[in-house]
Amino acid sequence: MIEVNNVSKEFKVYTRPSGFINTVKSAFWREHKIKRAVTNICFNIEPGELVGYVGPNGAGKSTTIKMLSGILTPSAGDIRVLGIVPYKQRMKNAKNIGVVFGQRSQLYWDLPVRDSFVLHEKMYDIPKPIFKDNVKLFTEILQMEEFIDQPVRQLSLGQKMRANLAIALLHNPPVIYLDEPTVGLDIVAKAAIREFIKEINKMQKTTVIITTHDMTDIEEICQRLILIDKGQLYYDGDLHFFKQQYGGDYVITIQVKSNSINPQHPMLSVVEKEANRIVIKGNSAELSLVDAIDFYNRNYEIIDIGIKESSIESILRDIYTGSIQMQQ
Amino acid sequence: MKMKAQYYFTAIRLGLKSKTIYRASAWIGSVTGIFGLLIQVAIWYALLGAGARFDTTFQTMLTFSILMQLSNAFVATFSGDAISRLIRNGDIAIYMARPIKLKQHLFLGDFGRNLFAVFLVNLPVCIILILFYGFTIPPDWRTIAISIIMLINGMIILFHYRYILGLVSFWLIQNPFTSWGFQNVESIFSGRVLPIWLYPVWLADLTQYLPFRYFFYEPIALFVGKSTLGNSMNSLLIQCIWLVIFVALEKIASHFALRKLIVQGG
Repeated sequence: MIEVNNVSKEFKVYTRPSGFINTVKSAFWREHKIKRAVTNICFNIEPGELVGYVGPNGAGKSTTIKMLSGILTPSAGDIRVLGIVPYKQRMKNAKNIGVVFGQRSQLYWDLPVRDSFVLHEKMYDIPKPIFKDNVKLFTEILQMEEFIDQPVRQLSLGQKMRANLAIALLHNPPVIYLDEPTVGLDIVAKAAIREFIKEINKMQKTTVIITTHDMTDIEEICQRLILIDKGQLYYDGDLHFFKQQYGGDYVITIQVKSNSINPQHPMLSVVEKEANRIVIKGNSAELSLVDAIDFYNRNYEIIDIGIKESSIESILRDIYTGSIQMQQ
Repeated sequence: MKMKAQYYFTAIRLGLKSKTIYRASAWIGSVTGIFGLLIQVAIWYALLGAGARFDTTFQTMLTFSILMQLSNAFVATFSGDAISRLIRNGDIAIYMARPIKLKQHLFLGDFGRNLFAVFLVNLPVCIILILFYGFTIPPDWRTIAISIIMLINGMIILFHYRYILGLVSFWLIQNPFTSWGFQNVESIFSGRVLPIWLYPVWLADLTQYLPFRYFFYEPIALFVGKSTLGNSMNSLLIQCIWLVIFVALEKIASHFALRKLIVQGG
């Protein structure tokens, strides 16, 4: 459905030297350097997949989304979305996709949300019954009844985002790109948006590509993770496998009935210890979580237990800071 | 085709609706927009009164000024500013992800917004002026028909010209061609304020090599009898050549602008 082969994107970045002489000089001549936003990226996405496209700031996530949307032209490589080369057939491609840019709005600022929906209906040639059904359905799921007839400028950030998400899906696009759709939202709004995305994927088999810095979005929505950094692809695969491969750390808090607890397992390290309570840390590559619990269960009568596994966020933090080294 | 027409209609309607949201601002903007016409009429009245000078009567100048005002009001376009703004804040990405041409979208929105000024301010004021001072209507229906065709042509050329200037923003980000000073240059060469038949010969000759007089001056000069039907056929041909040049330039510029596009701010 989406094929990305050896895609690169370069930008010209003008340097701005400081000092008066340099400022005068720059009025006649400016030096520039070539910045590679994306380098030789390759991936394929099948219909109905829920893909998290993550990376630190400036990794090239938004640039990729914009190339997939036909907004930017790749400097090299080949992109096809449903057989269409997006930048060559921008308008044809646009009919097949929905796009949400978390920091930008598709809605008419001065007019009620409903007016933007109507313009969208005509712009995308949406058949009347589909348009009516979708407006009704999305209004219900995203709880837009209270503000659908209000001017956009009067809406909260969360309301605007819900309306933007709805408008991007009004024409039933087979693919939707979500570029930081939950940025700046409160936890209730985030939860509503995540539920909506999952629901639409389930109902219409919409392929979803989401870029975000909120890893809860990824954990709750996605099955597959693509990780890029400095424009290069570092991981493309199953989210669960990623956690196992690069995470695997766990922390167990165990409280036992007896007044003394002595850790003995060589594969586990003690984080904290009291008379009948112990906090231990292990890694599933060395000792599985089940075996670790079983070890204490065989030796003590456990009365309470707490388990914390490493999250996608902590794994990515370690990758971004270099604590975990990844191969390209 | 039907759906396309529905889209055009909706975009124009919403453009007009967005203008009516801030009523006070729309009224003040439209009313101040007509001051130029009223000042011109007052000057021509003071200069020409009931007589004729430079082979021109007051009624000819009134007709000229009214037609010039209405034609410009219909296509008062802000596409240059709009493109510049979209490029600077990165919102151009939103428009590029839609199945529409940016040119179309901007034109329809502008047209819708312009209808407010045309129908609620310009037309009523012009009708009052006509009722008081009269209006020159050509005796020949062919002159009227050719004038209207040339006016519509002129509107299309003017929109394309300003849109192409707007596309410069893709390269320069801060667009110098949307400045007030540059618009004054356009105003002089287009004969918008002072008719070109009153210009010194060398300046009038110079305007023939530029596109500006073919926006509205030529059709209006024909309408008020300052050009013959024969001359106007020649002007219509030149207008068509400019139209082809601008449409082609717009297509080439749009093609390269998209390749050049950098979305500011992520």
